[in-house]
Amino acid sequence: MPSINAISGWGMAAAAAASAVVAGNSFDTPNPPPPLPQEDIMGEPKPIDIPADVMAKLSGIAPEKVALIKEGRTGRYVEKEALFGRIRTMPTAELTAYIDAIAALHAQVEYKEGRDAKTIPLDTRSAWFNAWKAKRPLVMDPKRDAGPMDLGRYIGGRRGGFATFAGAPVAMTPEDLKAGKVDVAIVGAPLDMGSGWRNAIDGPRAMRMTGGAGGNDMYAMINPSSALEIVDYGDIAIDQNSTERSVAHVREMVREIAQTGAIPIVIGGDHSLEYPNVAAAADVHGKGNVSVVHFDSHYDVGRNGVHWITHGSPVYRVLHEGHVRPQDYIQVGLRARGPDLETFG
Amino acid sequence: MARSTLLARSAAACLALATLSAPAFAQSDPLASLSPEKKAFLSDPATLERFGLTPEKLQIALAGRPAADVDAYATALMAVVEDSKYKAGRDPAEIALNPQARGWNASTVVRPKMFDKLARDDGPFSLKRYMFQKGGIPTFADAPVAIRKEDLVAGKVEVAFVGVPLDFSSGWRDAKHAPMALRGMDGLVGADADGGVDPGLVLSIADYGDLTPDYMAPDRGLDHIRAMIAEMASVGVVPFIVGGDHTIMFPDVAAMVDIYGAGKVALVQFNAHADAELNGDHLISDNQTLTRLLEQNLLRGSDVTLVGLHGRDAGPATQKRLTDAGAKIVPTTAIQEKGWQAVTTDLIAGLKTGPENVFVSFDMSVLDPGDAPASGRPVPGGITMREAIPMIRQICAQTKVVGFDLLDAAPILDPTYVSRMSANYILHACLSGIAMRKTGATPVQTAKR
Repeated sequence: MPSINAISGWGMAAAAAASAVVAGNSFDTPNPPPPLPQEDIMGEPKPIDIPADVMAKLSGIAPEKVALIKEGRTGRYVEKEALFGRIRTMPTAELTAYIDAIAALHAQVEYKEGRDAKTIPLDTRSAWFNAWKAKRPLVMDPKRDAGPMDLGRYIGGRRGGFATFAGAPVAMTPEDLKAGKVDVAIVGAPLDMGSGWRNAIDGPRAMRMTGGAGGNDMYAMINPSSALEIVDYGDIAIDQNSTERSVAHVREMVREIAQTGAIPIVIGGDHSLEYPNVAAAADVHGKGNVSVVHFDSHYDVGRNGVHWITHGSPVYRVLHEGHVRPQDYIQVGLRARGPDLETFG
Repeated sequence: MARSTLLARSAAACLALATLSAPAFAQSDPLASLSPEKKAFLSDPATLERFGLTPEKLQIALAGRPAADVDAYATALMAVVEDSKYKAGRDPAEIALNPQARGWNASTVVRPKMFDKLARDDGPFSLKRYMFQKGGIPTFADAPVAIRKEDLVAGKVEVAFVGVPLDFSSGWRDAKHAPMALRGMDGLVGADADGGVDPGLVLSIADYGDLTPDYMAPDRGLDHIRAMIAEMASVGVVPFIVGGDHTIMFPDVAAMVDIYGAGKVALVQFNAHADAELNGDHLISDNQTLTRLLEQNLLRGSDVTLVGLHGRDAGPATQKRLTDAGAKIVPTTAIQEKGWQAVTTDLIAGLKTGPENVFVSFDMSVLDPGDAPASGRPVPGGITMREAIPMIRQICAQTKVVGFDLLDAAPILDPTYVSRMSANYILHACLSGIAMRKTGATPVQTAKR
């Protein structure tokens, strides 16, 4: 068992406790992640055949603008046959202006270096820039032994009125998990950025306050709460205004649990959390040594959006960064309006 | 008998111990052994407050601890302060986006008229099939639809509703669905019984649809919203913006300043929250909107009036900072004690000494949750609809309101009609006020009834 000093941060351990206030990005969740290979970019426009009479009418138009049509890039602005119709009937001067307008619109729509900000700047002047994930120094509480904290008052029962996952005792640090030989640590990650209705922020709180996660299983005739050492590991800090920043910290925290040998159970939070959760598992068990069984109605292999991570894209990040091999990834229950034939390939 | 004696004895022993040690706590200063720097750190009330401490609580926490432990305590708290600062190399200073993304600006580029599939003349157009239809395809105030600036100009539109479904409330979220939900609710159509006008008849109103925010970042996309709202105002329209969380007040007010000029716009903010937090790690979020408007000199403190402040984030230090900057604060208690009419008369008199152009921002949290449970950041004890309606009507009737926003309605929190109808009645109250100002109508006199 670790010493009291190690867990409480008192005395000689003060320096160590102080340095752990903000873990930072020591294990670098990449920001940005590696770029996408071309073959992963779906929904690219397909080149179109331009009839000879239409080509003839385009003879006076700049080649790069004709190329936009050939590459199918004008489909976003005007349907192919309608475009051909216009080209066939428009007077030359008007046609030039029309094609110029399409080219100008296209230039406006696509990303342009220097004009479009490719980052979201943060307020680095703030004295409390990292306050959202700064850990509470253990010295601020009375000394205690390392290990799961029982919140109960009475001999019978454990909960004592405090809502915890599965009515389990509470652990705050990896030392608590190690000292208690914890098998399962349930942790909340209330990230609230789902693209449908939002309120996943209440997921961890609501599940702590609702029964059902503890007790005997009538089919298996086993009571996990008795057979396993289970703890409530509290909630992981979230930046409710950035999925990107949140997942980097979630990965650190889930890894911290898994490194002790405990199995992390993460209560979200929206589905973007799958990425840091699986990446953390791979950090501990090795890339390619983790397989995933993913129950969802959604495919969540979205990619090449403006944001590198959303609740629609965790699966792509997990596979693309090599945490899990595609053959080790199983999806169950897909049925939402998701991928089309091209995506399923 | 023996057992109870034993218990009594041990209890007495405990008591004796407590009595012995108590004076020792009181007499020694646990900070005495600290270095001057650490002692100063733990003696600063502002620092202690940030950690949820007072000098008294600190004394209790440190009482009886050896000097090394007290030193460790100070060291750990100083580390929190130090590590909370940005550090290059450790902390990313920005959030990276994907410049490879195709159609980067597609959702914010307005389709030019020449790319409409079918031609139509400029101007707001109705979605009603029948002359006297109710219901059908929902629009704000049952108004005709305008898509582009040219439609607003051709229809000489005076008031245009526009939704901005940004969903980043720091409380409960669902402001994304507010524009849709309010379009689908009654209460925005018809005569104002107390105002004596039917704003839908008197004013040219349009529903300008929704503007596109970035659902994954409040910080990104505000420039587009600002530009679109400024464009509305540039053609003489009074924008009625339906958020969206309170972040939206930033582009709303900034757009007014873009059109009317810095120092030429006053803000009346109905809000339980000050939204004037400092030291955010993002450059914008709902709870620092006012801070950013003041910091960027888009507003002067003296041109800000806060009505209905009563949230937990409106502590004395925040209120002092705002009033020191010149802001006027009308707390909920003042409305209760003096009555809405006296408060509103004062408020309007104050506005008459400032810039002519007035922007009214109405956060749903200012209302009592009984009247509007669907507020992202509700605070009990808010103003009632019976107070809010006449206050809004009078401000919109007696000052030159150049824009109005209604923010942080979160319809999912209220399965009844109440919040949505309250929100629409607030919007209607200001519409009525604007119509009264236009026609010179005066409120229906109670005595004549």
